[in-house]
This record gives sequence, C-alpha cells and structure tokens, in this order.
Amino acid sequence: MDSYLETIKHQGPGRLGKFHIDEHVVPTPNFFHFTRLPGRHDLYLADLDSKTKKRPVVYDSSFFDLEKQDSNTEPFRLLPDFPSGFDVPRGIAEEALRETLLVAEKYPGHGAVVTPTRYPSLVLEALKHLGRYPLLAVSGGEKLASNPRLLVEVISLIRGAASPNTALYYPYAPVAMFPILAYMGVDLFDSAHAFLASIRGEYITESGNRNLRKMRELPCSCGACRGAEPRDFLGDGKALLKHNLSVAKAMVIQIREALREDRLREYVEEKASNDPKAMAALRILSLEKWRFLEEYAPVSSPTIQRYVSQESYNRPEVKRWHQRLRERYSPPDNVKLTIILPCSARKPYSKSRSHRMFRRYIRRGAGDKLSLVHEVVLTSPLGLVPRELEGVFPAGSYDIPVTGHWSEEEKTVCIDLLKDYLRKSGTHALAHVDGVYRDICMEAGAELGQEDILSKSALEHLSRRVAEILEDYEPGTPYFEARGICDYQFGPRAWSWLFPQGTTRKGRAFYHQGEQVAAINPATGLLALTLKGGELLLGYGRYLVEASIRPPSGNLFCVGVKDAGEEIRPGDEVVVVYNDEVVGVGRAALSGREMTEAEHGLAVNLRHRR
Amino acid sequence: MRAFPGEIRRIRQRGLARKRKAPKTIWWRERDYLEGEVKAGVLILPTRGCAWGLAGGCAMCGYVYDSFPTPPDRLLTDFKKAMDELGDVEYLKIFNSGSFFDPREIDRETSYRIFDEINRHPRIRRVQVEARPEYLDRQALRGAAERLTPQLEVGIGFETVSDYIREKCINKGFTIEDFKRAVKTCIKEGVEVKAYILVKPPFLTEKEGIQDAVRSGYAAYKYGASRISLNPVAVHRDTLVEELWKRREYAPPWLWSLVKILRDLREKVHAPLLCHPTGAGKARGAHNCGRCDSRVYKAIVNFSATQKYEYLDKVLETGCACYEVWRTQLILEGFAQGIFPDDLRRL
Repeated sequence: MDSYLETIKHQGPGRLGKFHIDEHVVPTPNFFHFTRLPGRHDLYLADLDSKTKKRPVVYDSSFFDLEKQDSNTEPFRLLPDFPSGFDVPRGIAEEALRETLLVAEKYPGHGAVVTPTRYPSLVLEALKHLGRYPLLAVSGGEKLASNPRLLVEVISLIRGAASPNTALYYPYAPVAMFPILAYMGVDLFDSAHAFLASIRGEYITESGNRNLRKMRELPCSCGACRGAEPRDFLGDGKALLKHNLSVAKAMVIQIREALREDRLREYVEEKASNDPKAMAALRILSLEKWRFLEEYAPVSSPTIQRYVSQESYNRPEVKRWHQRLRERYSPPDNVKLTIILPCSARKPYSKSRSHRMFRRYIRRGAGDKLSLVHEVVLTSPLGLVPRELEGVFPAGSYDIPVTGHWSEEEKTVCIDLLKDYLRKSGTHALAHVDGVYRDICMEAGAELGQEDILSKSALEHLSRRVAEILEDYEPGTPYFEARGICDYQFGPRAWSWLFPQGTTRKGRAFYHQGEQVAAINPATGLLALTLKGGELLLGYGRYLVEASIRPPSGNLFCVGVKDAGEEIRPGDEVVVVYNDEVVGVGRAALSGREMTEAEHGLAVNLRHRR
Repeated sequence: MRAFPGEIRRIRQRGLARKRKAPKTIWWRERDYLEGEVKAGVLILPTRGCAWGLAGGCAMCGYVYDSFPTPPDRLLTDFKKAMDELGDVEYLKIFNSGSFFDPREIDRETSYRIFDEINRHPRIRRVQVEARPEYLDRQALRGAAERLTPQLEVGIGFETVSDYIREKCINKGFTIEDFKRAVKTCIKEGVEVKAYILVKPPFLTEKEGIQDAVRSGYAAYKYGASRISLNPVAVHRDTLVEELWKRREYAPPWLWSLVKILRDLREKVHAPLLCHPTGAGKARGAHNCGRCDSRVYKAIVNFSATQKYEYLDKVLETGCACYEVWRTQLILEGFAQGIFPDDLRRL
C-alpha cells in the first residue's frame, strides 16, 4: 500500500496533516512512542492516537542486519542509516551517505534517514535520492538541535527539497524544540527525549527541563504527579518517565490545536522564549529564511493575530505586507492630499471612535473634494495601512500591546514605508498624529498637525488645513477602492484586468456589463472571484492553476494539478484553467509549488466551476 | 570503503610523526585459564610494527606507535631476561603488536632462537604468538611447531563475523575466507587458534556491539578456534576511534555488555572464553558508571581465569543503578543518531 502525508492546512511550513501508513491514518503532527513488541523486529513506533496496539512504523534497529532481512512486501518501516554519527569528518560523512543510499534505494516506499546532517551539501545530495520517500527521518537529533543555525539550514533545505507528501520525522527532538520544529515543517516526534531526560533526572515542563533533585514541589497534575513529591520520583525513574511522556505528548497536542486555530506561530514565539536555542532558531528562521516561511503562510486567517513580542514583527505575513506595499500596491491616481493617521485598537480602523471623528473633520474640510484625499494609517508592525486595505488580513485582525513606546526597528519600518508611499503618490502629506508618530512623519517629510489629536482645536486645525490645501483643485472622480485590494492580492496593475472600464460596485460586489466579476469577502478583506472574474484575470497570467482534468467536483486535488503559479499561497484566490479555458475559481489550499509537486491532498476548493 | 582508509591514513601519519621514546621489551604476569587456572606471562616485544598498521591499518589500533625496529640481538637479550624474571609461568603469551610470522618484524632465525630459549623452560605448556592470516602459511607454521616443544597457539584478530563490519567499520584488510583458510592451516599443522573478537567496533551501537560479538564468538568457535578472546575497544591515541571519541561520536562498551556477551556465549561455545579489558573503568576503556566498575571488572577477570559463571551471576545479582541506564541505551541508541556519548553513563 502507498504511504504518504496529505497536508490539510499550513501555518508557515508547519502543517496539519494526515499520514497514511499502509492502511493506517495517523493525524500529524504526531508523537511516536517507542514500544517493544515480541517478534523479530526490535522496535515499533506507536502513534499518540492509536488506542489499540496498532503498529504504524516498524523500525529496523540495526543497519548491519539488513542483509538478513527481506524486502518490500513487509509493512511500512523506517530503514536505519549507516550510523556514522553527526559530528564526523566529512570523508566519513560522505561514505556513510553512500552506504545509506545503497540500502535505502532497495526499499522505495519506506521511510529513510537523511544522514549525516552536519553537512548541508550532503543533505542536498541525499534528498536527490530520497526526496520522494514517504517518510524521512532527520539524523543528528540532539546534537543538530543544539546548533540553531545549522538546524534551520538543514530543516528548511529538507522541507524545500522533499515532496510535500513526505512526512518529516525528527527523532530525539528535545521537547522544548517541538514547537519550532513543527513550525519548520516537522511532522513527527518521538519519546526518546522523554526517556533520556528521565535517565538524567530531568523533569520536563512546558517551559523547559528542571533538575528533579532541586525541585521542592511538582507543578503538574498528570497521573504520575498527582499526590506525589519530587523525592517519590527518584528511584527507578518510572514515575518520572510517565510524567515526562505526558508532557511531551501534551506538547504535540498543543501544537495540533495551535495549527487548527491558526496560532502556531504565536505558540512558537511563546515557547521559544523559554529556550535560547529555540529562540535562536526562530530568529534565524524569521530573518534569514523568511521566504521559506512566507511561501507556506496563508494569505488570510479568521483568527486575530496577536503581535505581542519582538519576534512577532518578523512574522511572514507582516513581512509580506511590507513587501506587497512596496512592490504591488500603488497609491490612487488623481489624489492631491495624503492624510496620515494613527492606528486604533478597534479594527477596521474606520469603525473606531477616533477614526470616525477624524474623518468627520476631514470631510468637513474637504467638502465636495473628498475624492482628492487619501488616508493612510501608521501602525506597528505593519508599518503603513492605506485606508482601502484596512480590512485586508492581517490589517483587519491584529492586536498589539499599545504602550506608546516604539523600538527603533518598528520606527524604521514605518518611516521607510511612508517615504515609499509618499514618493509614489507625489502628494502633499498632512499628519494628524501624536507621540512617536510625529517623529516618524517628520522624518518622512510630512506636515505635522497639532499634537493633542482628539482636541477640538487640533481637529479644527485638521479641517482647516484640508480645506486650504485643496483650495486650488477642482473636485475629482471618486476613487475605485477595490483597485488597491486587487493589486495587493494579485499584483501590480491587476485591477486593470479584473475591473475594466465601466465596472460598477453594489455593496461588496463588483459588476461588469451586468455580470458579477468579484466581491469583497468581509472575513478576509480580499476579493473572491466569479467565473467571469476568472476569465477577466486570465489575461493577467498570474494566480492560475492549470488542471490536467476538468474538475469533476467542487474539489481539485493535487493529482489533477499540472502546473500552478509560484506566487500562489495557501488561501489565495485562484483561477483554474483546463485546455486554455477557465473551468473554475476558488481558494487554494496549498502554495502553487506545493500543489504542483504533491500527488495527494486537496489543491483548490472551487467556489464556482463549469 | 573508499573514504575511511583515507581518514585512517591521515590520522596514522599524524600519529607516526609524533616523537616518541623507543619502547622497551616489557613483561608481566597475569591469571589465565588452560584446563584450569594458570599463571601466565605476557611479553611485549618491540619490533618494526604491523605492516598493515603502518600503512593505515585498523580504526581502533594504536599499537603501531609502540613499535620500534629493535636489533635481533637486543631483542634476544631482553627476551632471556624477561623469561628469567617471569619465573614459573605455564602459559607464555608473546605479543609484538603485529605479526610474529612477518619476517620484516621478526626474522625466521630470531624466532627460532626465541623458541629455543622457551624450550629451556619445561614448565611452559603453551606459547601464544599473534599474526594476521596472510602470514600463516604452512611453511612458517610447520617450522615453528616443529621447533617449539610446548603447544603453539596463534592469536588472530578475527574481530567480527561480518565482512561488512570488518571492512567498513574496522578496515581490517582481510575477509572471513582468509580467516577460515588460516585456521584450517593452523589446525593441520597442529597449531591452535585463539580468535580475538572486537567488542563494539566504531559505528556500532552498544546493542549491535553485543549482538555482533556474540555471533562472532560463536562463528570463530565453529570455524575451529579453540579459545575465544573478547577485546572491548579501548581508545588508543591517534586512531580513528579516538577522533570519533573526542567528537563524542564513540564510546567504549559498557562492562555490562561484556558480562552479557560472556553469558550469551555460555551455551554456544564449548571452549574457554577470555576477556581482559584494557583500561577498564577508565574513560578510554570499557566502563560503567564509575561506582561499580571495579566490581564488574573483577568478576570478568575472575571468570576468565576460572571459566566459572557464578562470578558473573553474582555481579548481576548485586547490580547497580546504572544497569537500567545501560538497558535503556540498548533500546534507544542508534535511532538515526549514531552512538550515545558517555555522559549518560557517568551521571
């Protein structure tokens, strides 16, 4: 039977999935428990969820015994590697890889070990041979995990080069590293660390391992800890092991829950703050591998994103926002005045009390020339939010701790984006802001209004200045607000394809020649296409999924995807094409590259099809 | 394996370049077993050194660094002196850190003069020398056996029954067929064979080390060896094993593993089982947690000298807290991880 992993959803490279092993289906991320069962194999890996003694993975514990074993008809198993170790001279590493591949290549369809991970170039070489195996185990375990830079390098390399249907297994992962590893795309963990910690007298907690001998109380109410004291745990270590295993399993369940609720990244940030190695890995990953993270990061989420720490500023959707503002978005034409406003706690901003007030005074000053005014909002960590994008993820649904204190990094992001915007817009900029915002606006060359922004005097000043600046201009035509969203979503000047001359708006929907082309999805702030819209966008040449069959149902599966744009991200609106004809529009479940490479799992959820 | 010998050669050249004093002939007495416990004498003759070892050699072996071309006359003078001092030993073991029958190490004439000297000591019942299979031809063996009055025994570093491990992990440079041929020749010439089994070659986990030693001991016995000697790897300077050990990618076997191997071989091998771990209890030798090492070591040595399993049974009964650690290691080790370093043992 075929074994493969099917991705259900992503958050960054981290994913919720189903691992099909022979006739078993194991939800992922998952936790493998080492079990010894009678029989000629030494070890089985039983997953967290099997209530009965199922045996999803058989592990051949000795590389040197393989010659005695028979081949492919066996149940799914993990083949061992030539056990050279992690920190070995390169010559030995090369030879170990050669030996490992010689064996692994006899057993396609089973699990294999990527070895040795000390040398990324050898990892790449291994992936050329093993990239399509249904399961890959990362060698090096604890040693690799203690080298965050190499860890990030190796895992992103494997995840990028292996098939999306390959489950990635990290044996011996320290429990503190489970979240960051899961975020990088590791699907399977095991009980080895819990065993080792027990031998070492370490009591695992969700926020790191403690020395049991120094503990006075047990801060846990698992079956082993309830009613027990630390000294009860000394001795044969069985109670300690029971506790350690329960924490490790709970961590994996927390990760799955976080994935379901779109807050894995948040969970990773939280857990990494307990562990310098995990934090180092997260920072290196966020700063140096953000494209790897971004490729798998969904374009929207129903969950409010909480940007609570410094690590949050480098989340992939934040960096994507910055990038798209620079590269895709352009300020509206025919605008003569840009008004800069501070953000509000309430989202979208325009629903907040402060913004309703600002806008009343702006309207009063602009009169019939309101279409000449464009508002932008300064905020951290997104930097800048043009008014028409305020409902777009994540601008429409984020929360930050508001203190009035900004880091230099936050300021710099804001200044750079504002400068870029003003350069493109070429208009006069009037800033109605207070506190730190004033430094930012001054730096970007904007005119500053009065400081006490909610005071009547400041607001009247705002009205007056708007009127004065617009004095010499004639009223213009109203700005078509969906243009900004369209460009942000599909690319520069995509609006000119989707919204030809004469497109009209009714509520959230857009019509061309009486036919609906698109509508704004209030949950994501992004455009949802109709088939007509898909046909219009076809000429733009992006966000296209080329199917190898006419989709027979509302779901297009990966096996039916011939090609897909590399710009497609999970959650993106895509146009499905078959034989040069638009046959459907819908939401991508995976990134373009992933749906092209994968052979199993859902690719596009079709909203309309023909 | 293409790259390992390259790595081994590099380390060997580095080691040989290190300046060292010319070693002397050394000797000592120890307990051993023939039909019962006997006093044995061990004699180490410095010679030019193992030809295979000088060219690179085995992953764990640093004996070549103790070798030095010694003039035959000097060798004989030393030998005579040693023989006088060793006194009433019944079993004499002569090691030259190479092959006794390689004429580049000990020429034929010198070896005969050594035998003549031995023949002057009527208490000696058995003499052991050591050699690689390629030097064990009929002529050399017949000459030696005829010249020597006591029973001649040749120690051969069989190491493992697996050609794969012998080649890839040890770089031994001969195959199982070479070994079998050498044993046959020995037996034909009335020479007995002591097979050396390497316990835990590099790259093997503790458990693989145990399994391999048990299989190999049994195989050597089946092929005709009349004595089986278990040699746990000790970390010699300037060897591949030392390189791995320093990088925490190799650890010598547990003493518990030796106990297990000896017990596992009990029913299978009807010949003396011998084990004199070098450097036992030290970081570079076979060791346990540090608390029970001398107790377990003594049990192994007592067993070797008497072949009485009660010593091993008793030490197991007494046990130690580290026994569970060892058992856990047998379950977990090797899972895409290589070898467990020592730190778990020393907790």
